[in-house]
Amino acid sequence: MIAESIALVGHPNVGKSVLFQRLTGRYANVSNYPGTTVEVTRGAASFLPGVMVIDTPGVSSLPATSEDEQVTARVLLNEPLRAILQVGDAKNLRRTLLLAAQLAEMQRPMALALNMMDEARARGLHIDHAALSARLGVPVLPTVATRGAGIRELTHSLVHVSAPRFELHYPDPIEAAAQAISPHLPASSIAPRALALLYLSGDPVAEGWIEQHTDAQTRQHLAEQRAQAQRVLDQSVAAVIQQTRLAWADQATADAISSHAKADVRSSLGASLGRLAAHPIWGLPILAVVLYVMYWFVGVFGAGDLVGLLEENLFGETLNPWMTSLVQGVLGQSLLTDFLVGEYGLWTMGMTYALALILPIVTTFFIAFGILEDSGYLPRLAALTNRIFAAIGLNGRAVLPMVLGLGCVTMATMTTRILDNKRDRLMVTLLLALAVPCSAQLGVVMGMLASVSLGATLWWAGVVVGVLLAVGWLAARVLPGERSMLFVELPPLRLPQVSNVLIKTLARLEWYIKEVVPLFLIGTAILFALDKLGVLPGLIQAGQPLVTGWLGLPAESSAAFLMGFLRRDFGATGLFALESAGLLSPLQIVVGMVTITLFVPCVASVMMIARERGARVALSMLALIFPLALLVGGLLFRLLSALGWS
Amino acid sequence: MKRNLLSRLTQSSERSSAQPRTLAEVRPGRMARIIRFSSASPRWQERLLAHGVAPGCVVRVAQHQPVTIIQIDHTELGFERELARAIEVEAL
Ligand SMILES: Nc1nc2c(ncn2[C@@H]2O[C@H](COP(=O)(O)OP(=O)(O)O)[C@@H](O)[C@H]2O)c(=O)[nH]1
Repeated sequence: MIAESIALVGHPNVGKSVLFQRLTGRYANVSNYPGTTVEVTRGAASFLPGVMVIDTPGVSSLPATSEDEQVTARVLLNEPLRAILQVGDAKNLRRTLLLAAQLAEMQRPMALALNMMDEARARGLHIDHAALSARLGVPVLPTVATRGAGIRELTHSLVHVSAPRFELHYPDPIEAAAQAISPHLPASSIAPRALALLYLSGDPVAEGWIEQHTDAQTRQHLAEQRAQAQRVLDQSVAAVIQQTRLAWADQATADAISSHAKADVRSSLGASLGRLAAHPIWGLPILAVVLYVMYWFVGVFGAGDLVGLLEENLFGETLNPWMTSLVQGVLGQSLLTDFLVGEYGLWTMGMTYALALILPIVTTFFIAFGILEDSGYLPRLAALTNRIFAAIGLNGRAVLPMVLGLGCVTMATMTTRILDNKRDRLMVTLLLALAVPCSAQLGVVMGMLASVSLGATLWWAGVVVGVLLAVGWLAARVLPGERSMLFVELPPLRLPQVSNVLIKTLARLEWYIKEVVPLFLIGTAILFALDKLGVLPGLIQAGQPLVTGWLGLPAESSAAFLMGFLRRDFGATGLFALESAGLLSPLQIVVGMVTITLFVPCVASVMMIARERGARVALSMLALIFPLALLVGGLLFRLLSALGWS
Repeated sequence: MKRNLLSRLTQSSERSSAQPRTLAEVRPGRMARIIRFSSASPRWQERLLAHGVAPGCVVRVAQHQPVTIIQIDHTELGFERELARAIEVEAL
């Protein structure tokens, strides 16, 4: 039997996840909603045995316009729901009621938590929640999730909720269409009228659901009804429906709210700071400080200190020798021993890589990310960097994956999920794989280039950034779909909640260990097989003519390139060894570093691309990136030679 | 290049106009009442409506750079100036 659940639904940033923690026990399960890349959190309700609580992604309204909203729509349509718990921001009552009207129309058992009551009170707002409750026909309860205020009353009412009989009256063409459609709709978990309205407003999830549950003839009838309603309206059906609800919400808000001191948003400290952080001038130094602190925490402390401690000391000096001798003691010198603790061993390479090299980086990143997320700074970061990304057909939301890419491209590829649509995710994935060097590689590259000259570093940076911009610019034109404009809500800046950040970090880490670490292990196993089958030396030899003839590098560097694909930092390290032996000229170093940077990061990242975007996309990207990296490297070799480099 | 120049020219004329006609022309710090959404695609209209931005309501413009930020009720919304140009307003 499937457990019944209570779905938390509400706008982004209203305190759903804090409330979720209050309603569930310790353990939360974060997973992708089936068939999507959207995270949904589930946990057992601590106040109702056998009932699950689902934390859905934020919605502004339905029809769903983003993948996040679609998931929420699917939860509402498909899950065996015991109740809907809408979480709303008390200080934005009008908007909260706009969504409440839509949810109440579904006529499922429902309650509304007016959260952030503390902030509403601080602004002098007094809300008559009994009046609202009567109007909507659902319990309305004030809460302050962060302090746990109002939770007991909320859980109490959730145990006994019943379905409201809420309906709004829409302009005639819409009423007519809704009434004509409703009888033809198969039974769903929401009221037929609500489903009809969703369908009329063009919600993709409702359409998909109807597609699955009706025959072609019925669908034709539905489509005709919708077209007819649209013909007589001068605005889109969706807009008319929404305006009707908004008119109701306006009235309900005006009746329920009385504000004493007309305190303005501008007066609070968080709001003033928030204003500064998005300011065209003051925002920039703040941005610089935030990025620097983040770089320091993730790049220097995480990727430097912690990795050093774990990889060199713990794994390199203690764990791995111990593990190796243990396995050798038990298994002797066998293939299995090699498989576990050999050069390409599951433990010595795969686990060491996943736990000692990547884990510290992602942990520090998740903490930094959680703090930015919880403080409300993230949308401001997107606003400030929007211009830069607009130039390559993206919007400011792309800043996060791109910055994280400097830590670990594999993880960054995963975070492209926060982007609005498929097109943006595809573009950022490509740019990450092609032109963003990860921390492991960046260290070696910078070290080697610095040993040549400042000019060499500038050439490298110039070419890599140039390729990034050019490919971004081109991809924006070639890929179908339009650039999506930035549209963000800027919540007031708040002091991040330690527990919220920690719980989110832990849930994400669990996810990393369960879903990403296996990729590193599979990658290692592939390497091991290639090595044992003797394919590696063959590949190295096959690549030699290209490396010597076209790129002008010594034959030995062919191995470094192959290793570079398997682990990008290995590749750079391989070239580093050649340089130390005095085998590379400055020209060769610049060409080698540029080519290696443009190469695909590592096996794990390719698998991550395949998992997130599909195997076909991953193969196409490889087919694009390898030749492109070689092309740019070869051209650079010729250009620099012509300029008199040697 | 050409487009940049063009948009810069229109921007400066937007600033100097005494009677703003679109949200993009409203000076930072001023209030305006929304009259209608002109050329905004339905998708953006719905986004705006979902945030309670509808004809008849009053918003305060906080800034236009690097993005337009408006305040409605107790929420701040940030979007690109292109969208602000598609929102017709009257000055208050
Ligand atoms: N002042 C105040 N802040 C809250 C309250 N509930 C949540 N928050 C904060 O609001 C921010 C967003 O909360 P979160 O639960 O992540 O929102 P979600 O996006 O809806 O899951 C966090 O910084 C929370 O600490 C509340 O009742 N009062």
